[in-house]
Amino acid sequence: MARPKGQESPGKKRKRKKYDEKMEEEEEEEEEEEEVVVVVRDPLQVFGSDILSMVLRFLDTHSLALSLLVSRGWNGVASTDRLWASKCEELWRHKAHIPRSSQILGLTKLAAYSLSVMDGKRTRVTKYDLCDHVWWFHFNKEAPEYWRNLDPFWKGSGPLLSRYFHPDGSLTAGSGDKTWGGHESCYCVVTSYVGEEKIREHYVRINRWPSMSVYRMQDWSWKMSNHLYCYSSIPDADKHGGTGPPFPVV
Amino acid sequence: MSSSSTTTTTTRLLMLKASDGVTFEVEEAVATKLGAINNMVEEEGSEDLICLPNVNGKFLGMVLEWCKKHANNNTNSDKGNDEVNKWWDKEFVMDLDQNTLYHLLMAADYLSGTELVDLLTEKVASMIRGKKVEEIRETFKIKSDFLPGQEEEIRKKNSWAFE
Repeated sequence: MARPKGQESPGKKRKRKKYDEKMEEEEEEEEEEEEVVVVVRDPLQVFGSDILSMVLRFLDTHSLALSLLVSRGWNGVASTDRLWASKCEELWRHKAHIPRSSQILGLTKLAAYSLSVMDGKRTRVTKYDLCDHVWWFHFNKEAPEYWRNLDPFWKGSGPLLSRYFHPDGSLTAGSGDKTWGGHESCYCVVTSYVGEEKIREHYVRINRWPSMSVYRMQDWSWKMSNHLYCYSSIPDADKHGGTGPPFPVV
Repeated sequence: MSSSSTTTTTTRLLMLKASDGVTFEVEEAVATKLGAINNMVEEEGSEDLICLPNVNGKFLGMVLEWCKKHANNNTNSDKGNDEVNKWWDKEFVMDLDQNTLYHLLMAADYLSGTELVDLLTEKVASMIRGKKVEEIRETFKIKSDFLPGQEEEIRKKNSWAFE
C-alpha cells in the first residue's frame, strides 16, 4: 500500500500546462484518486475566520481596508479589533496629538483608526485644539529686535515661552514671561466658507494684532503664525482620552 | 570531522501514516516541529504508528520536507541559518498553485505547524496585497453578497482608504 510520496498511479497522469490554468481539470483528476478536494476557493469558506484573520494580519492598512469590501463574511473578519489595534498603534506612534474623537469608549479599533486618519487631515483648528494644548510661543525674524532679545527662542537661554488659550476666550502666559505685558488678551478663530463646505479663509487672531495662518504638521501638531510671531502646539499624545474636538470636524 | 553524524545517532524514528495509506519514516526531531505530532509523542510515546486520517500523502510529504529543512538548519544555531531558512521558505512557496497551497495550509493547520502556517498564510496574503476589490474577488472566486447600500456605507465610513 505504501508508496513513496509524490508518485501518482501511472496512466492517470496527463500532460499539464500550467497548474492554475488547469485548476478545474486537476481537481477532477484528483477527485478520482484522492478524497480531499478543495472546490471552494474562498479562504474564509475553506479555512474559516481564524485562518483568514491570520492571513489578513500580514496586510498593509490599505489592503486590509479593501478586504472589508470583498464580502459580508470578509467584512466581519477584516474589521475585528485584533487586526486594527496594531494598525492604530502604528498610526499613533510619534504623533504629537491623539484625536479625542478616536478615544471614545466602546469605539471599534477600525472606527478609531478611520476617525484618526480623518482628523489628521483636518486643517481647521478649533477652540478645543487651542484650549487642550499648551502652546510654545516665539517671535519671528521680522519682529523688532527689542522683543526678540526678550525671547529665549532667539537668545538660546532657558525653556521656550508657553501660552495658554482658555475656553472663555482669553489668553495667558506663563509666569516670568518678559514678553507678556500682562494686559487682558483674547483670541478668536475665524472660518469663512464658500458654498457648502469649501473653506475660503481660516485664521486665528489675538486681540487686534495681525491674524495668524494655521498649518497642520505631519505629526498632527499645529502651527499658527504671522510675520511677527509663531505659536506651535506642544506634543501631548500621552494625554488620557486624547485632545481636540470630541466629534468629527471637517 | 563529521560532527553531523554525532547528532543523528540518538534520533528516534517515527512512522507517520497518511489518509491514503502512504507511510513516512521521519526523525522524531523533524516530526515534532509539528505541534500535533509533538503532543501525540508526549502523550502516547512514539512506539506506535501515528495515523493522520486528515492529511493525504502528497501534502504530508511536502509538510515533512519543510520540517526537515527547518530542523536541519536549526541544529547548528547559526545566525546565517536564519537567512538560509528564509531563502528556502521563499523557494518553498514561490511556485505553489492555489490548490496545493490550500491543501498544505489545511495540513499545516491540522498538524499545528505554527511556523509553516505563518509562511503559508503570508503567501495567501500576497495574493490579496495590492489588488483592487474586484481582483480579490476574482482571485478567490468570491461573489459579493452585500445588500444594496451596505458597500457604499463601508466606503463612506472609511473614505480615507478608498480615495
